[in-house]
Amino acid sequence: MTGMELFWQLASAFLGSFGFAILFHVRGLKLFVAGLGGMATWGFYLLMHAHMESLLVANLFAALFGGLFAEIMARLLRAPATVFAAPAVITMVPGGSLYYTLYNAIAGNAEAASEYGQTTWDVAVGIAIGLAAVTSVFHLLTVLRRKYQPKPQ
Amino acid sequence: MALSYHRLLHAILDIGEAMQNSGAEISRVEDSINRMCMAYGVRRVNSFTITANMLVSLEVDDDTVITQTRRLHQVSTDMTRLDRLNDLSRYICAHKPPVEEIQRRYAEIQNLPRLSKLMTYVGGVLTAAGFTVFFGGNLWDALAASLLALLVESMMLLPIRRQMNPLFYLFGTAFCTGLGALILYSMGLGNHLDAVLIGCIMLTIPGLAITNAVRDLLSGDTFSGLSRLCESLLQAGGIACGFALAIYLLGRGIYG
Repeated sequence: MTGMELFWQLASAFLGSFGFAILFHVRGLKLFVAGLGGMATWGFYLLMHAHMESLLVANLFAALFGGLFAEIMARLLRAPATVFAAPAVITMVPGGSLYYTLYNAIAGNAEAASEYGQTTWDVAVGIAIGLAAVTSVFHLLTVLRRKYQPKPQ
Repeated sequence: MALSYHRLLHAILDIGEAMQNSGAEISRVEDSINRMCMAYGVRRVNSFTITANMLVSLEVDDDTVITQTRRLHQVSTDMTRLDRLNDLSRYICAHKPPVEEIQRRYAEIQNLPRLSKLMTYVGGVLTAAGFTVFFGGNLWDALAASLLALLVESMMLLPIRRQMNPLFYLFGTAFCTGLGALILYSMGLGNHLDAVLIGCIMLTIPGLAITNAVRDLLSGDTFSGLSRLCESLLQAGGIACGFALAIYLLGRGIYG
């Protein structure tokens, strides 16, 4: 990938995530952070993808990154983590391969359809596991903190 | 005046329902309801929420157990509202305000403006154009995707949408958008039909619903997770199918 291509990918990832956050009625500074999250997560994914064979594992790590970003930003900006998690991972959502899967299924190319279907599945499962791991670790932290820290007041 | 637990529970359910409708995960809704109820010193709270239904029982003392349910409807993601509801729930836990105050603050949040039509179009255009470039389109493709995003969002805003089967409506929207993409392409606007189509698919795909479904599923809310996942996968499939069918039926001549 050339530098120019990389630039366009990251810029368009920002724009796409930013647009998504607008549709979710995110406002103000959080909009930019949401867009930034989408861009950073995609950058991290490209890095992972370059060093890994498995699509599933690359997506898993990128989703871990996106989830972590979302949880940290949620704490800094006092907002639910979902606000940043969804725009962060949206760039990885396999919309393209889903389209090719169904196009080939309709066109009767069973082999191509199952190949794209496998890709779609790998990516989706990778994202799901990555996000879920971050969510459960942070949930555990919250529970522990509530248990061992006396309430301020 | 003595605290009416009936009215308290009603007010708390209002908040829970609004949270769910703004796109919160189930665990967040249940957790907030439990904590708000416990803040008022009830002995026990049992809340059970699934995508379509919310059921909460309060055990106040030996003689009083109060149960209320809500039927939950379609979600329209609104993070601003969810944010405010979250704050309200925290405020209630910390200050235990009287029911009238809860109702007043809740009404304030419900009266917040929804996402305006203009911003819906702006968001749609940015998303579709962004993802078209992301998937390898050039600026002309982005322009085509922007026009199609206007079509998608205006179809999504049509009031007739509520009278129709939601899945079929999405399929129809995708099919029309696919046709629109073909028309623009054959008129010479855009060079990468695939990129334009995928940009539009990314716009319509229920991304947040899938994310939340997986979170629900893996945090133990299996019912909600499965039903949301099922619903959103069907929607995603229906959307992609609508695009693919339009291209397959009418686009083979120009689609390489």
